[in-house]
Amino acid sequence: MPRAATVRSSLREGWGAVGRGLLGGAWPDWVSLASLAALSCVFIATVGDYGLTYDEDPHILYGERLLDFYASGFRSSVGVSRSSYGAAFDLCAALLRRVSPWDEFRTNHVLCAFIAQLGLLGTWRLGRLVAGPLGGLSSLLFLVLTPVYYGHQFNNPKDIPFAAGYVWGLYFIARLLLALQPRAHAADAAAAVRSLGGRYWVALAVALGLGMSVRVGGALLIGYLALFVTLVSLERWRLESRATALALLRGVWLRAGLAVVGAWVILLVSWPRALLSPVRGPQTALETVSKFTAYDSPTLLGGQVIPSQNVPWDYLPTYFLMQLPELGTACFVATGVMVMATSLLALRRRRPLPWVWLLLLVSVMLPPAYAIVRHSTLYNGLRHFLFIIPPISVLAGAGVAELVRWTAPRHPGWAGAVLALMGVFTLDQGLWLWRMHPHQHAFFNRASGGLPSAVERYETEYYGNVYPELLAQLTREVWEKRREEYMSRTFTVAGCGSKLFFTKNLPLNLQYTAMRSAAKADYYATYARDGCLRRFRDRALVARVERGGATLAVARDMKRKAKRSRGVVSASPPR
Amino acid sequence: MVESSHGVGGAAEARAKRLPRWVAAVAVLPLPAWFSVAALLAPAPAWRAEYRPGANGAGSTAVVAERKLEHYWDRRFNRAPGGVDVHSFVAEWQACLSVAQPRDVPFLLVSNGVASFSLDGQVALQNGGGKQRQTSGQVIRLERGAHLLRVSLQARGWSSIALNASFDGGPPAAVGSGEPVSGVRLSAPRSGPAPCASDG
Repeated sequence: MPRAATVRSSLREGWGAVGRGLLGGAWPDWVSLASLAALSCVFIATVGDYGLTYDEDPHILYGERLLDFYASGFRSSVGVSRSSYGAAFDLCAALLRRVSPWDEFRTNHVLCAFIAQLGLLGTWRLGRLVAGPLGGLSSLLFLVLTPVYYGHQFNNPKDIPFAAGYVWGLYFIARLLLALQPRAHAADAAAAVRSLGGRYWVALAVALGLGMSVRVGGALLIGYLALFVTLVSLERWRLESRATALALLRGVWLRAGLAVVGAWVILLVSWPRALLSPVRGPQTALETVSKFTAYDSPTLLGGQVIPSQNVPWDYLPTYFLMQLPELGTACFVATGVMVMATSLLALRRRRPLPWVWLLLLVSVMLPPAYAIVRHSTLYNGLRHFLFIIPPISVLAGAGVAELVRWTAPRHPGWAGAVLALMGVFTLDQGLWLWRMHPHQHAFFNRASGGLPSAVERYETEYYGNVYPELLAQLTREVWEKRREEYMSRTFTVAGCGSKLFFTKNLPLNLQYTAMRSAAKADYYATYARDGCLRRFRDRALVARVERGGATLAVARDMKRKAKRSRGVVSASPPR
Repeated sequence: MVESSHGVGGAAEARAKRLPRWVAAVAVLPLPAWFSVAALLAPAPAWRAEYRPGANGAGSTAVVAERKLEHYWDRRFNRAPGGVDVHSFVAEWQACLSVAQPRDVPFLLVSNGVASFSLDGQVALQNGGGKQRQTSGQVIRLERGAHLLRVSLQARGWSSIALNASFDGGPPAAVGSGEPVSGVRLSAPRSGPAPCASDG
């Protein structure tokens, strides 16, 4: 029918024009700018919604000891000189607390959110470096829209600062690798390396140093730098005149070596353990954190409680598959396969290898592979490997950008369709971020069955973020239902988790008591960790935190039994 | 693999080169700017706190400004201003509470240790000490104007102290500096016989 055919043809042409138009121009950069601006506003508006977590208090204490250490002229302190963790973030937080109008935890969250934004910026820069403005935008979107990463950005003082340092280290290494690409003329090659300039080498040293000064595992970046510069050097040696390659690379090796020395100096200055023992200190710290046998809390995998020192090889892959958005995982895997295929083809045809892409792939695969092979202590799901999510996002995003670049001239409609899919993904994941707020860290994707399927079978809310909301509900409940008692006596609240979760989120007249006294307490309040949701189920439910159709935390009245009605447990009438 | 700019022509290329800097600016500047403004505009700490050594004499008298009256001491939080022994010290807090309109305010005094709360020189709430944490409360009618709040604590063992109040009908919370709700303000007392007298 002519009319239908005309409509179809117009649609195809229009879609094709969209596909072609989307390829060119700076629109992805403008969208990235708008996204980061919007994110800044969201961060500011919501930073107060996030609760304190397990790792915060030890790091706050560490920060205070660090300040004492430096202010007293490096007088040694046991708590400072033996810490396996670098000090940069904690020192900054301690300094910030001196001028902050808020308490120590909210101040920590503000700094954590700022560092997280640096990480987002680094991911955007790396994606843009690898695959242009569209690669930058896609990488940024994949990272921001990964709820498990998003939720940690506000109250994880270890893994998020390290992730930011990791992605910036990768960015500067990638820039070096790009400058070292073989060029048609030797003069162009030399100019590309010269264009890096002195500021680049200083920035590289700072990125490597700060990465290590959060977690000593940042020394991985030095390993990547050495490995890939070596491989690129060998390739240049193989493909070009030896004299030319040598002349070019000698200068690079020298500057890279100086950058590593600079990074080490930054590490020494900002980490007392390294300052007191510059080589042995970091070395033993690295051994400690890579094995970490000091901690043996049980963890969950598929409903099985397993010791964290004895997790199966599929612990990490399972959590990544279940907690990353499906589209991001699919794009990452597809890009990884393409990178490997391209590399094999390049080897066969004696062409330059895609080193930057290989760097990204190694930066994602090596750390978890090492942990699996070494049987490292693992718990809290993928939390300790949050730092590989930015390069995963870059590979996924850069892959999307390359796909659009390849299809746009050939099948413009397909390119438009890919971008439309990204748009739908953005909306869908954005809704999830909103629905889960502020407990995005407990996200499980649809393919895994979602959060309802994961609660009590996998580690979901294990960090303590849920307590401000739960205990505010409990306080309101007691105030409204037991007003006279509220004005005249102290209530006791028992619960799972750190005592600080309760003392910082309850008024003093609701007093924390240890779990061994729970049976005598007035209330029991708990998150999902360690099977705590299952305890005291015969007690009346008075408060609950739910997200995504799953219960993350409950509070129960220990003096009232739950009333059973047609198989549904509900509270008995109030006093 | 493609690097940075796709701009064509002088002006467009220059804009394209500047764009990453603008992106960096909107990513990293807002939070520090907001923090700086918040720190500058934050109300000054309203509670004047004086810590004095207890019977064993450890430490020295210290006068500090605090933003809210809520403390507890345990093995984790085991320091008090002046280096006083946290198991044995005496402390007093003062602040001025101004209300624009008369209102009924529920106050709660919570403490481990002997504590009292006075309003305009009259004792309103008292806790007698003992091992358990005690709570006493009362709804108090506040007339329009400024009122002197005074809380004292004699610490024994691991102590705690809080003065909670509700100005919006919600659960009482620690009385903090500034304006918890419109028409209510907590400010620092002045020295002299009329610490909460207003200007003019």
